Amino acid sequence: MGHPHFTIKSKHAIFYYSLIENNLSRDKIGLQAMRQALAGLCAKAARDIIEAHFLPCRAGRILLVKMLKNCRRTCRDAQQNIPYREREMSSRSRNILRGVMIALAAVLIGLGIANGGLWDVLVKAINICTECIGLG
Amino acid sequence: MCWSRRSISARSVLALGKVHLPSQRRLIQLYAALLYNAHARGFIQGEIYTGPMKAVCVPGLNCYSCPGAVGACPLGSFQNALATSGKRAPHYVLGILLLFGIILGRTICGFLCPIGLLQELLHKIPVPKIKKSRLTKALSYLKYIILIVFVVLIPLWYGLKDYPLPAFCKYICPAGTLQGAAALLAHPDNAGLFSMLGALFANKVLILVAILVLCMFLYRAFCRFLCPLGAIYGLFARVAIVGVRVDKSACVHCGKCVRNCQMDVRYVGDHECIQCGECMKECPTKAISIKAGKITLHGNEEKPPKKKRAAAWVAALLVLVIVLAAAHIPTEEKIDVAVGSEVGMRAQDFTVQCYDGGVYASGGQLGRVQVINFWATWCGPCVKELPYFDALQKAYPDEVSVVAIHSELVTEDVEAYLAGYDYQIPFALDADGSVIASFDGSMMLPQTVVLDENGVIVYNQIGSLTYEALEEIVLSCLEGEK
Repeated sequence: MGHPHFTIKSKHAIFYYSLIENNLSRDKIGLQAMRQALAGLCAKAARDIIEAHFLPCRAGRILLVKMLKNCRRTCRDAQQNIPYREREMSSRSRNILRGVMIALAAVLIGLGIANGGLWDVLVKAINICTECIGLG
Repeated sequence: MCWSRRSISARSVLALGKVHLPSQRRLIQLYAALLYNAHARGFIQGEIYTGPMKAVCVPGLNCYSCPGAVGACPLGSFQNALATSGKRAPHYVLGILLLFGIILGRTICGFLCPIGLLQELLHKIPVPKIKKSRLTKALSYLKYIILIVFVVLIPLWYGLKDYPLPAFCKYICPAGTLQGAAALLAHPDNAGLFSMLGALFANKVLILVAILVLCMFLYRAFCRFLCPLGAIYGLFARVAIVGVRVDKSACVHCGKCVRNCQMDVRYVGDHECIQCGECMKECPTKAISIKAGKITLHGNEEKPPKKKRAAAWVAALLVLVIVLAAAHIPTEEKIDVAVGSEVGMRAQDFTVQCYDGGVYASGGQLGRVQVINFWATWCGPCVKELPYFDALQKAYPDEVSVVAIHSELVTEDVEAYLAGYDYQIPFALDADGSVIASFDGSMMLPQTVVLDENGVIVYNQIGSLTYEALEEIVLSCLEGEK
C-alpha cells in the first residue's frame, strides 16, 4: 500500500504531495509548496480538490484544514475570484420564465391600452410637468 | 475610500495626429440620446413635442418635459400611473417596464441611457478619481430605498388622496432639471417661467450640480447610488435576454473582470452590472461576451463582415430618419393666439358649458372681477389650489366671479371627481382647447387669468397661487377700480 498522497492544481503548476505517516512535521518544503498552491485558489476550489482525494491519514487531513484556513485569512479576495453566479437556474427554467414574463408584459400592455393607461401616459407627457422641472 | 490620479500621459499627448474614435458603445449611446430627443424644433421654438409618439415610453431616463423628447419617461409615467392607480390600474406602464426589463435589463443603463452617457463623459474630466470600496457598495443599495419610497410609496399614498405627486421627479430627478427646466428656461419665449422659480427649483438645481460634480470623481455616481430606474432594471439581471455572459469553461477565476469594473459588482452580470462589456477587454482568456440568449452579439471574435456592418448602419440611420420625420410632422393649427392675451389688453369673450348644466359667458360677467383658473384632475398643483378659488368666491360673492375650466385633455370622469368635493364655484370644460388658447396657454397647468370689471386682463400667469397671493391680485383690482 502506497503512502497517502494528493495532488493540488493551481493555475500555474501541479503539486504532487505525498504524506509520510508520523513524519509530517519534517516535511516543511512540501508544506510550503502546498501553501503556495492553495493561496492561488479560492477556498471553495481548494476544498473541492481536497475532498476529491481519499486521505486515510488523519494528520494529513488536519494539516490541510489548517492550511485552508490560513489561505482564507491571507487571501482577502479569494471568495470574489469567481466572477459569475455559481448557482444559476437551469437554462430551461430561465427560458420558461422569460417566456412567461414576455407574455405577461404583452397582456399588461394590451390591458393598459384598453383601460386608458396609454392615454394617461400621453396626456401627462404632452403637458409640461412643472413639478418635474422644479417650477412647482 | 481610495483615490487615484489619472493624468494625461506624455505618450498620449505626443500621439498627435492619431484620431481617437469613439467606441461602438459610445456611438450607440449617442445614437440613443439623439433618438430620444429627435424633436429638434422644440429647442428652437422652446416648446415640447405633443405628438402621439409620446404615448410610448423610451427605455432610458429622459425627461418628457425636454423640448426635444419624443417619448415618455418610464419613471415619470410609472409614478403618475401609481398616483392614479385608485382610478385605473397601472397596467400599461408596468407592462412596458416588464418588457424592457426582461429583454434588455440593465443593458439599457450601459447603452441606451442619455444620463448614463452624460455621467461617463463627465468622468473623463481629469480629476482624481474615487475608487469603489465597501462604502460605495453599501451606498449602491440606496437606490432601492429611493425606488420604494419616492417612486412607489409616496405617489401611491398621495394618489389615494386624489393628489398626483411624482415624488422622485419633483424632489430628486436631475434629468428634469437639466433636460426640462434648463432647456425651457434657456429659450427667450419662456421668460415668464422665471417668475415661477422658487425653493423647489433651487433645491433641484443644487441636487443636479452635486450629482454632476460627484460624477467627475466617482464613476456613474447617479446610476450607482440614486437611479431608481436602474434599480428596477437590476431586478431582471438574472433573466434578461441581452446581457454580459461568462463562459465558465474558459474562466480561470483570476477575478480581473470584477476587480477592474468601475461599478460595484460582485460578479459579472449581477444587479449592479450595467452590461457595458468593458470587462471583456480585461479578461485574459476571452471568456466574456455580450449575448442575447444563445446568440453572441459582441464577443472577442473578429469584426463582422463589412456587409453586415453596413446593413446595421443603414437600419440605424433609417430608424433615426423616420423618428426625426415623425417628430416634425406639422400638427393641426390651433386657434391663433388671440390678440388680447397680454396684461393690459381686453380678453376675448368666451362661453363654456358648466358641469352643473349652466353656461358661463365671460361677456355676461362684466362689472365684476373675473378669475379664470385652468386646471385638470391629473395636475397635482391644480388640484391643490382649487380650494383657494372656492374660498375666494365665498369671501367675495358679489364682487368676484370665479370659474374653473378643465383642460380638454380629460383622463377621468370630472363630474364624478367633483362630486367628492363641496365646491361652490362653477366648473366647466374647455372642450376644444380654444379658451385656454385664447389666453396664450396650452401646455402648462395651472394657469390663472384675472380680468377686471371691464374685461381687461390684469393677470395671466402659469403656476400655482396661494390664497393670499390670489386675494392680493383681486383686491388690487377692486381698489384700482374704486
